[in-house]
Amino acid sequence: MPGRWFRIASLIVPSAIAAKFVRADERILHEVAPVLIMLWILMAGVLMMRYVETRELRRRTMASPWVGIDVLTSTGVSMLWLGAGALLLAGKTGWASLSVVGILGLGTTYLVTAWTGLMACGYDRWRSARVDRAIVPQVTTEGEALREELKISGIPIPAGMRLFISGTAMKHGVTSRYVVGAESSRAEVALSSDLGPGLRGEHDAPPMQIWLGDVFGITRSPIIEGGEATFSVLPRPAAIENAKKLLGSGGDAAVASPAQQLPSEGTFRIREYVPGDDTRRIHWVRSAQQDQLIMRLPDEIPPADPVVRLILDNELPVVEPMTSRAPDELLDALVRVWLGIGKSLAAAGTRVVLVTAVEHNGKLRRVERTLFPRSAHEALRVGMRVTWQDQVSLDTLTGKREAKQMKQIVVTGRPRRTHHGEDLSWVVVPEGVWTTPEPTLPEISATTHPFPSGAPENRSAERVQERKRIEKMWQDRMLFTHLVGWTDWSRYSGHHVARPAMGDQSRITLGAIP
Amino acid sequence: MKRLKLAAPVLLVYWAMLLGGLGLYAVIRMDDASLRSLWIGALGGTFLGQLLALRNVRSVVAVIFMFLTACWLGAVLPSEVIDKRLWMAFGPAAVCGYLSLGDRASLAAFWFPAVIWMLSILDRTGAHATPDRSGMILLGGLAVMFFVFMRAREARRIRLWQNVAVVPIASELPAKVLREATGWHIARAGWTVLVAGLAALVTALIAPGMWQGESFDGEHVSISRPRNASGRPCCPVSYDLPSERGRVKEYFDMGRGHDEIAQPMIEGIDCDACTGDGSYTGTYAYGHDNLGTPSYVPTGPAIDVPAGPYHPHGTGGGYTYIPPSGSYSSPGTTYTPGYREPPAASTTRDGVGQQPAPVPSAPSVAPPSSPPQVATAPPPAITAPPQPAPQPPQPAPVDPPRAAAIDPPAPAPAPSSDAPPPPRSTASTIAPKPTSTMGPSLVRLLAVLVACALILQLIALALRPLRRWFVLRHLRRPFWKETVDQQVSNSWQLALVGLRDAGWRPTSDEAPRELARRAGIDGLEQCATILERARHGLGVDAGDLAEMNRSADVAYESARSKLGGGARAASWLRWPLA
Repeated sequence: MPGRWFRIASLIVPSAIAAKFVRADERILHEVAPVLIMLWILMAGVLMMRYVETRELRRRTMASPWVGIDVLTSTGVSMLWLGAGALLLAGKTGWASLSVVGILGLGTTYLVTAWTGLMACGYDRWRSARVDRAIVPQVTTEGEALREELKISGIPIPAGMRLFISGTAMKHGVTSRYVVGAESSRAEVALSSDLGPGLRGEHDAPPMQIWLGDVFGITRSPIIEGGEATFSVLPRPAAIENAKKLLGSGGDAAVASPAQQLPSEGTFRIREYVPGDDTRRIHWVRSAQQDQLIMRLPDEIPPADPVVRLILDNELPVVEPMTSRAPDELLDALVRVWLGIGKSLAAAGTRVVLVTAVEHNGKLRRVERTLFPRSAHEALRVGMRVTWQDQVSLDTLTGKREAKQMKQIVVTGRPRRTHHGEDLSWVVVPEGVWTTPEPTLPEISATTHPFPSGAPENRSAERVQERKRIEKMWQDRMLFTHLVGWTDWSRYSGHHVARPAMGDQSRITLGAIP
Repeated sequence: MKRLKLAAPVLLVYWAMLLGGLGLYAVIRMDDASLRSLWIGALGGTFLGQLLALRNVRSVVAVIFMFLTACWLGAVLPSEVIDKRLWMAFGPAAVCGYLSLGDRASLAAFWFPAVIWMLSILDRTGAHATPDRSGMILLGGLAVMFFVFMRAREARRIRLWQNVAVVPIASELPAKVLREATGWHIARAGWTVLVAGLAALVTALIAPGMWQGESFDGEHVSISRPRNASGRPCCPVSYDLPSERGRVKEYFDMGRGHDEIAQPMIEGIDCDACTGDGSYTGTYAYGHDNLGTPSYVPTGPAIDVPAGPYHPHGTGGGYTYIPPSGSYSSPGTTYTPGYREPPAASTTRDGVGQQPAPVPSAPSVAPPSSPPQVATAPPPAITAPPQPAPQPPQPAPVDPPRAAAIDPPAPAPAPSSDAPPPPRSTASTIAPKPTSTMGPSLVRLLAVLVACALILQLIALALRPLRRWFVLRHLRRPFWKETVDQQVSNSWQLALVGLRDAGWRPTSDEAPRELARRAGIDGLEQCATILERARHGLGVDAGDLAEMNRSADVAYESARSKLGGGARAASWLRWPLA
């Protein structure tokens, strides 16, 4: 933590340099030094007290004791160094203005630091504080706007200070930042901000960072955390065009051929109910008579009612620590396509069983859910919980014994050889189509800053850090592209690829792989 | 445009500091035409620096641009404006203007406005003196401006933090205060005043201790001889001596310090007093700066010196002109030449006849104009008596003078041990004659204006309880006839006043019944129900009105019952009421 050590050293070094090298005029020593020394001693005493307190609480808070005295901001550090420099220059040049500037700089910093150490540091002041955070609506659909609502109460904000709160609700979401002035000390304040469209998944919003800062920007208190929240964003199934062709041609099974019957003729076929039968065909009278469910079979020969296992392939290792947004975007697209195909097939009368691997009771396992057209909520909840995993393989998802009799459609980002590859029908969701490129490296202009003057983002250290962050994102993106890349198109000829229809990602068209 | 909006408060404060300092100094030195280049350099440089900062120009490029602009200005500006002061102002003004919108350079940015203010603060301050009262006030004001500037910068930084980042930032919706702590505003205001006053006091007290003096030669001035305590004439009436100016060192070498006389002749050491009766030797006890007029202590008997007119030599001491006998009617104000009838055949101790003395020529001192003095008495002035027309000396009736001129005597014998030896390096001071009274009166006017504003605020604060009483009285029992709906609304306002006293604050989109549920105050739910009925146009009868009044009173009292004495008292000073 080189920054922290520099900040802590700035509490001592500039003042020591000024004391050592300012011209040792007797009058100065007698008139000026004692006041500044007194202020410095006051500041040092307060900070030492905080250091001892933090050290004693180390076991409970798991925080380094140096956190208690790391109170200077970059503005405060520069005030101390510039103030000392002004005093040194005043001694050399004799200009009165430099002495005024130096005394103002050092004196103000000592006073404000002492005030912050006394009034804003320490963990006891946060005892009565309450930070209630909620993301509304708590359960919503992908793409709907989310709002963060924060309610703070009982937080003492000393005079001359402000409360700062910052946090992010979603992994790739926006950052919310709040500032509350001292006039709202111990008040109950409602803060809110728009988070934009929700991203699919079950989110545990990490706690927000909360700290106090003085009104001159010289010091700040140690950061504490609070205000966790959970919220769920259900996936939004896409509308799939021509999903039926996934089932194959099927002859004229789709065409019903009514039997030619005379009025006195007719068949009345009944049988016992089998799970999966259309409940509208239950013959209730006969069922009551026979004390069991009796189905009435139609006269017409109905089209074939196949059972389709719709498998979502979410097996992909080494994805969790990636900083790139592409893995999440591709998985969101996979879930949309998967649910969209299921919904489309179910609406057409096909029995669809959704199969994927999700965490269940703390363990990753294969999950199967029958998709009912009028009760898709359960399927949506499964889709919400889908994440990349490397514990349940595709063979496990496709290898069920009974499944061998059924048609299996695999929705995947990377088709590949499996044990049952010949029996599978693939719907490929290509990564290049469904993911957005990473942000480009910032253009460095030789003449202007990328941000307004005075923004800390213009500092060279910040620019270097930003550059490294983007480079890491691109590296992760390249790795991800390699992981999901596939080139043997010809092997999967005849299978399907999902593309947005006319650039609209909410409507998907299935095209055949040539 | 958004960039400008974010920076507006900082720019406003910075320009207020700069223009305030320049304007103050211009008023103090109204007659000084050389300030024009200072104004052009300061304003032009600041404008350029801040413009470059607003355009987000990098520092190296900004410096290059400043240099090129300076070259261009050197070519286009008229020659009477271009001088050293212009460039001394332009460079630092541009750099400090650029830094005023920078990231961590607030202290450095403050330096140039401080330089401008120091010109006024240090005006007429001696090299080893502290500023006078007006200077201390201005120094304190400068410290307060520093805090205002720091606050403005931090406010801008916060707005940048909330709007500018490398990661996307959520757009914040307006905050809503649902319930506030009571009595906090007074503590907050008190803190602000305390810190600002403390820092201003510390700066005003200790900063002058660090100032260094410098001296430089001034023009020759004539001063009158200090008054002889005994009233008897001494040697030369007027001295023609070089003055030495002393002032506090500063970036701009245009301050006017205190004038000091290099080394006036010391009675008894550099010269002897001569009159018709003789001369006096002795010592002048010179005080330090601005202390009382020196007194003459004769140390020895008169010695024989030929009478006659004498003129003081230049700066080397000695004199060739003997002042006539006479006396000063008051310290250093007027000289009344004495006259003695020449004795018919007088013989003095030294045999020299007395001469009626010609009126001494003692040109008045022409001091430079004084600094603005607020309430200090000017140091004891040694002003020369007016120049009366010299009269030709009367010829001695008895004997002609033995010498028309006399060389200055040898250095006087060592002064008597009774008299304290005058310190040779100690100089008497010339108190400047104020040529303009605008300076001191301006500061006085500003102080009066500030005091008036404070008094008005205090009056407004003192009237608040009265206003509150009238409003509450009207809400309970209207002074004039009002409709039923308005009376219902008045009762609701009364309840809201009570809630506000207790810290509850309704939000703009909160329905009355929601507020009642949130606050949980007795009587409020009933009030909210009747209010909503009235707002929705349902009938409100007399019974409802009476119930509304009663419930509002109950809610008012119930909300305030939880307050302490201090909070209750503070609520009488709060405005607006709800």
